[in-house]
This record gives sequence, structure tokens and C-alpha cells, in this order.
Amino acid sequence: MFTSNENKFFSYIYDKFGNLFLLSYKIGKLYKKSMSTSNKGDEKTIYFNGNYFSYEWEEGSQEIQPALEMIKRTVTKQFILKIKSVGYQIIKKKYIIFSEQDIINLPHNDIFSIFDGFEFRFVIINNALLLCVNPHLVIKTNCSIKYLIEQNINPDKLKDFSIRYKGGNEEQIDGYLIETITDEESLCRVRDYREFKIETLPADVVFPEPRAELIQHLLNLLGRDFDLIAKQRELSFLDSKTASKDRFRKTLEIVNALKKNVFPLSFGDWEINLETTPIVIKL
Amino acid sequence: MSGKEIFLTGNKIENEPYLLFDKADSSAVHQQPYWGLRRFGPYDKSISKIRLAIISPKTEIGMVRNLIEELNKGTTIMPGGMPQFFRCNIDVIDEITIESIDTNEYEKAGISFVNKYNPKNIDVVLAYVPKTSRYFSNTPYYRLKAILASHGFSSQMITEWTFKNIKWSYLNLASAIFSKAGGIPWVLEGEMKNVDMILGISISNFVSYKNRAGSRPRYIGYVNVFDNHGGWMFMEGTATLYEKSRSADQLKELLTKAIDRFKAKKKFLPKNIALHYYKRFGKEEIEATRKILNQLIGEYSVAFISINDSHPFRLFDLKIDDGSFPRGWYVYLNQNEVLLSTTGFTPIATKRMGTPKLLHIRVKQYPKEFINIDEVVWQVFSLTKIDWATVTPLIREPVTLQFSREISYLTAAISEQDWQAIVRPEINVILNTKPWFI
Repeated sequence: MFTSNENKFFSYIYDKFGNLFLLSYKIGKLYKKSMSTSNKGDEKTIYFNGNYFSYEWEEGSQEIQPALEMIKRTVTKQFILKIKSVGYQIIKKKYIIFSEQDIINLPHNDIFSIFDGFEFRFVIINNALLLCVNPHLVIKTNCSIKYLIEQNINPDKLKDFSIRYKGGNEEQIDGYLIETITDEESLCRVRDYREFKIETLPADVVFPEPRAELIQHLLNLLGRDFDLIAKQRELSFLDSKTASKDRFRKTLEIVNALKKNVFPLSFGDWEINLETTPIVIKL
Repeated sequence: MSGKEIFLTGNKIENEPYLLFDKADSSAVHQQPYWGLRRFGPYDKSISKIRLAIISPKTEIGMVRNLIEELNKGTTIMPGGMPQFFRCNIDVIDEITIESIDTNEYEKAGISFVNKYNPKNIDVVLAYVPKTSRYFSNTPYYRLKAILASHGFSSQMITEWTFKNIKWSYLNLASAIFSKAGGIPWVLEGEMKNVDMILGISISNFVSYKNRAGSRPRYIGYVNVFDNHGGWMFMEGTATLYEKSRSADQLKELLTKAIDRFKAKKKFLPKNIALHYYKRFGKEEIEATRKILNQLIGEYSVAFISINDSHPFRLFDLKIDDGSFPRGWYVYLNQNEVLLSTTGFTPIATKRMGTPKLLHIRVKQYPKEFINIDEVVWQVFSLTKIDWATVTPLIREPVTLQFSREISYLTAAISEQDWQAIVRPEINVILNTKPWFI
């Protein structure tokens, strides 16, 4: 059941582990940019304590000795760029990564999809930089409110839940569906959570929030016999008798894939590598 | 740096804390609520009768009646029923039946009930409602609870789910009803070290953020106050609805109320104070708290204890059958920061679910350290035993956070008017001595 790499942990001298993986690195140069620089938000630049720093020299910049927190920010930024470049997607505010290839084969794809993803953090512990990786299911809704109306859900039932829609600049906005109106055109009256204002939008741009409870509710309204909550429990190892071992194994799989597809991170004269042995806990 | 070996160290709590089941008998102790209640009854034995009203659909009233009868008479899991486990009986004062399970029907029944009764004459309202997800706010559960609470009534909701697992539901239900009637089922046997007062604080919570009519969100805060035996003392909420996230003003209102009432009840000013919060304390919040404590107490020590579970950290013990990191074991991330497992392997509970979601505990202390990190872990761990809504031995969160979470579900769903009614002095004086929100 376990690969030889994974199996070694079961016969290892230690038996307690965390989902943290050491990063070994060769730190390259880091430059503090002059305040007049025009390249503040480029891919090579980080922001730290009111200043901009880049691994690439430019006119007016000064080489500095980077603090560990600066190294962490630089590595995080380059990790995200690399992960996107090799085909992963990132849900930024939640530190969640997934790939369209890791879709889980389930019915009702017109309504939702589930992907095998993971959550990550770069953390500093005992003056070392580590990557924390935790398997995480990613749920996406594929249906707009208009599609649900076309599937014969009573529009009166399409209200009182959270939704998402794209704003003017393509930015995704979270909101709350106050009501769905079907007249000549299907419209949604929504409250924008960010600005807290009410807007009326075409129903084809409004999508239900990707939450299992809500999707289950919609499936019930559609008369589709599928227990998404139970499936989510199963896929999250909640019902497994070896839940933690399953999660540990999955974590190692993800880390090995990252080692293969993403690391080493090379930029400027920096090189970052990922150890695939998890941190040991001594009690 | 390359090839560096790195490890984390940890510690373990070997035994579950003992719980006390009699105010007057210090030998009435057990580690598990179930056995403690079964042998000794509740900590507070002064309640002999609980006056209960029922609100239920006509179709379910028979089941609800049976439930009460069994609670009084006893069951295989709860032999001797309420008289044995809580030293009291449930007396049904009234039954209100409704025709359907529509939210409107429940609202009508709730309004007619609060117009008919004085909350001083009814201890708890037991309502049968359809099972709905907490995700939705316009449900019989939230609407009825809000109407009852805003008129000073504690309520206990039951659903078809209660009856599906009825054998084990009895005792949880009995404990919740008993505590909502003002009883204290159990407390910690020993005092938690170096602390007089523990506050489970929650600030900047939206009120009815989903469907409120106004143009801007409003925020409120609340605090649950516990003594050093983990006994819940009271809950206070902000009477003001704040614009934007004015956390310092919310803290001022809450801390002033909490310390005044603590002093009135305990007859002394707390000197060592622990604040539990599910988020990280911000600089502004710490400064505001210290300023208020300077004014109210003068000489004091305060620990800001952030207890967070929204993080990706996980720990594993491959020696355990399921690989879970055992309950009570913790790992130091640094001097003031640990990861604590509360739902991993434990000999007191065989049923576990999933990988333990660890508690990430971070502590900041002022003016200097007065409690060490191991004592903080013991404090948090002990408080996982004090949720009176359940007798389950395996509770993940300390009650300080659990109670805050329950209130936040409610406040997100109820209206500003409901909240303002709940914290009105004449209602507050009835409600805040009972954990009506659990």
C-alpha cells in the first residue's frame, strides 16, 4: 500500500511526525530598491517593513543581508509563480493549491466538481524555513443561477445563500443572494459583501458559493439523489479507521509531487530545495 | 544551509482532569461527565424542578412527550433519569402545537408564546424543529431561538436527528436543559493555576450580515466569563452596535461589564486574567485591554491566549492504530507557542473522526510572565471538559471558544433588533446567568 519512500517512515527510529518539510537553500543576493523605483510590483520584488527588495539588481538598489522573514517572503512568491507556471491553480487568500488534472470522478459535473488539492504555508521554526503541506479538497461550482432556473428550480427557492460573481475588472466578488427575479430576463439581487451595496445582476454571471452544504441543498432542489456531504467526509478520510495514516500518506504523495514538479526553485543566484522527510517530533 | 536535521519537542498531559459533581462533597469526582453524573448527580443540587414548555408540530408531539417521559423515568443509558443524574424532574407547563414546519408557523407560535408567558415562570422551552444546516439563517431554528431569547426565554431545540440517535441523545439533552434552567452540571475539581478569571472573548462579529436592511455592516462583541474551576459565570454582550471594526471600544464595554459583575459575584477583583480568543490578538486590542485593566484594576497580570484551529498544521503518531496524535499531547513551536491535540487517541473514547485538528495556542503576557506555557496548555485542555451541552468525553475546543462559536452562529443569523432586545437590561438580567445559547 505504501511506496518504499513512505514505508521507511513506518520502520524509522521515530514514529511521530509533523506535516512540515525542511527547505534547504542557497541564498543568493537580495537588493533593497531605491524608493524612487518604478518596479514595485514585479515578480522579482517583495515588500517588507515599508521597503521593496528584489533578487535582481537595478540602478540605485543596494545589496543587503536578508533576514529569514525576507527569505521566506521571497521563497513564497517564487513558489507561487513556479506552481502556476507548471499548471497548478491557487486560491490565494486561502493558501490552497490544486490542479485541474486532479479532478475526482463524480457525477453532476454540471453543478459541481471536486479536486484533490492541498493547503500550504511557509513557516519559520527554530530559525529554519519549512513548508507545511496539508491535503485539502477543493470544491468548485459549475452552474450559474440562470442554469439552475433552466433546470426548473423554482426561482423563489434561489435566495438566501452566498454567491460569487465577477466584478467590472474581472475580480471575483463574494456576496449574498437576496432574491432571484424572473421577468423578461433572469436577474439576481445580490448584496456585495465587500462594499455592502445591493446590485442587480444577470443570473448567468452569478454562481452559488462552492460549499458542500449549499451544493447539497441545490442538488436536493433539483431532485438529484446524491449525498455530497457523505462523499466529502469519505474523501476527507473522516470515516476511515486509519484517518491520520491516510492523511500522512497523502501528504507525502503531495510533497513528492512538489519535489518532482516544482522544486528546486531557481531564480537569480538563489536555489531552494525541498526535503521530503517530514519533521520529527521527539516527546 | 543544507541537509540540516530538524525536530520539534513536545510534552504530554498524562491524565484527564477530574471533574467535581457536588458543591458540598469534594470526594464526588470523576474524569468523565457521564459516570460523575450517574454516581453523584450534578454539582448544583438546588434545582428540584425544571418548568418546561413545548413547541412542536402536531405530528411530532407524541414523540416529544415520550422523550420527556423517558428523561424523567430513565433509560438504559441513563438509568434513573433526571432524578438520578440531575436530582430534579421536568414538569411540562404547556404544549404549543403547530400545523406545519414552515418558518412562519414557528414565528407565529413563538410570538404567541412570549405574549402569554413571563420568562420567570418558564425555565426552558423545548422546541422540535426541522434539521437545517447552520449555513442557512432564515430557518425555524434561528427564528424561533431569536424570538424566545429576545424575550428572556432559554430554549433547547431538537430535530429528527435527536431521535435517530436517541439512546445517547438523552443525556446530552438532559445536561443542556439542566444548564439552561440555571443549573451547574459539573466544574473542574482543582483550580487552574495562576488565574482568577478566564474570558472567552469575541469581538467584531457581524450581526445579520447576510440579509440586513441597512447599508453598512454592524459589529458586536460578547464575552463568556469563567472562574478558575472552569465554571461558567455569565455572558455579556455589547449593547452598542458598532460602526466598522472598532475593537477597542467593544473591548472597553465588554471588559468593564465583565469585571464589574465578576467582582459583584466573587467579592474580589480578579488579579490574574486570561483572555481566550480564536484569532490572534492585534496590537491595538492588546493596548486597549491593558489601558482598560489599568483603569479598572490597577495591578494585574493578563495573558492574551490565542487559540486557533484554522491552520494547516497536523501531527501524526504512527504507533497508534489510526495514526492520530494522542489527546493531551502537544508540541512546542517556540517558547510561547504550541500545537495541542485534543481529539487524537485516548483510552477514554474509542470513537474518533478524522485527523485531529490541532489547537494552535499562542500566548502574550503583561506586564510580565505569570503563567508558563505548560500551565496554559493545561488550562485550555481542562476547559475542553466543561461544555455542558455534551457529556462526550472527546471535545476538541475549550468551552471558552465553543460558547463564543455558538453565539456567533446565532448573531450572524438574527436581526439587530433581536440582539438589542437580548442585551436589554431587563432581559439580560434573566438570560445572562444561563448559557441559553448552547
